[in-house]
Amino acid sequence: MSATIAPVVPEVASVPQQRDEQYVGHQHRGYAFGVRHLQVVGLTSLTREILHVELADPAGSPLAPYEPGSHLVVRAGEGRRNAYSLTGDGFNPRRYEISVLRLDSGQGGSAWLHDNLAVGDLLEVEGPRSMFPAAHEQRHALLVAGGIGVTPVLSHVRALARAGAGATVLYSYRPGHEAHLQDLRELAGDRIRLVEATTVEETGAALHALLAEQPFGTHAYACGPVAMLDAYEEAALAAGWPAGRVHLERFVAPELDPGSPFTATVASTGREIEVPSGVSLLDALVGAGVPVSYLCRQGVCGECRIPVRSAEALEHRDFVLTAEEREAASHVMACVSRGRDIHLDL
Amino acid sequence: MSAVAASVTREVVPPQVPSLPRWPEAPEPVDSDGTSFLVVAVGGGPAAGDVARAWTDQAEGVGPTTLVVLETIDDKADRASFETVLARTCTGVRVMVVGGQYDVLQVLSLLRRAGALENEVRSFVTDRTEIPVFCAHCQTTFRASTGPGGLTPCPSCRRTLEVHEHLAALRGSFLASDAEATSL
Ligand code: FES
Repeated sequence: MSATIAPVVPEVASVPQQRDEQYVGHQHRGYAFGVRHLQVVGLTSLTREILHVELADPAGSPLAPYEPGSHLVVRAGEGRRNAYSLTGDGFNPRRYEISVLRLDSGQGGSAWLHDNLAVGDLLEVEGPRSMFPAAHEQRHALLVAGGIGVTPVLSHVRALARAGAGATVLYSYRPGHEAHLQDLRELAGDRIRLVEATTVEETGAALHALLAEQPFGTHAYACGPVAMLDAYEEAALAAGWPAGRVHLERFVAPELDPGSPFTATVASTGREIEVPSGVSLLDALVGAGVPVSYLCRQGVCGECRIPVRSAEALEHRDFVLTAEEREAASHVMACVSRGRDIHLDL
Repeated sequence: MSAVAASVTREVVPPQVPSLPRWPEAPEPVDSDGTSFLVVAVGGGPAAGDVARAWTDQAEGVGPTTLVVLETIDDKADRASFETVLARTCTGVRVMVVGGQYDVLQVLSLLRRAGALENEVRSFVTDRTEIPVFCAHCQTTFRASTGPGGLTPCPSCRRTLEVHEHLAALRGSFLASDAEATSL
């Protein structure tokens, strides 16, 4: 015998209305990622130019957890928003902690934070956001930090230590500028091995040696200055690592050439915007009053992604889009990338 | 009408997309981007031996190469020796597996569980008569001379199973369920 099972369609009246609650499930009051204010509860100078900032919910609530390697967007003075890596493990945090390197060559955000923050102040933040997560299938991690690039690495090491997982950590620093070195030394032990390097040569040699001896299934992560990241990518390639295992986070993007002028069309209005050589698509759009959000202006953070309807040619110069996304030509990072005759889906 | 009711009444069952292994017609060449190589021959008759030898010769010209020859991955000692060799390999290695379909799928599953990426592994099957079958009811994985769409008895719970067009890559087996479950 066989039976047919008729689909049961619930009557409209019997379906409970979705409740419009502010806090769903077990999420607490502090479970927020949008723009909000946190209170500065601690300020420590780690080195002469690195300030460690601790932030907490003004009402004392716990904060939203985050994936290791996440960053927090911080308002650093008038009209300036900078992204800083969180240094904790991300597990049920009561505080968000960032370490800010004073960059006098930068556009002033880090100097503003150094000069103006005081304990008790409210600071506008957004996030955390995860742009540098751990690969879920990793069996071991090789973490490489150069200078202030230690901040996301520390976050990963702390999360791995909490999970009881193994990691090999290379920290390259200039003596006298070694932020968080003590934290890493304290985390080192049976499962976490710390290798220190204090010169370019030592760092290069350690990269080659470590990349050659990681167990099968390792994923590598690096954050640091451009020269170190280049050396890291080269050494990984030489050691036979497929690109899918080699992850990195840039905090300073390489210099870009000014590029040729082109026209961008806003699909919804048909408006054509000229983008001269030396001016980014982002600046041209913002200058023309088209609202586009952005953060890093260096093709690193992913904030300025714009959908593309069609384009004659796209020259992707960002570090955000994957190879498949580039091939599909469906998005462009307006702050760095260029092209010809781009129709933007705006 | 509430959003919930709307989504219930409009639900559509998506078309069922089969997931089946796609074996290359001929063994692929060794990936010379690797810095060391592991060649695994497991069952599959003399043809598997030939492929393994050709791969080993090629790989030795590029970097240090280990050849492991196993009768079947179901054998405890064979499996242990494979796992010992795998545990000694370093990232940068490329793994090539050749043999009968059952054993190759099971070895690929062990590699995936060890964190292997798609482009670190190459495989070739010299004999397709057997597949690994996963019984959805008693969760046993066993060797069966059948294929997707075929019927086979489960050696553990004795149900008659229908093998579905669904290979679970991580398990290295085909999903099968009670062929008689739809009739009451
Ligand atoms: S603003 Fe950061 S990627 Fe464009």
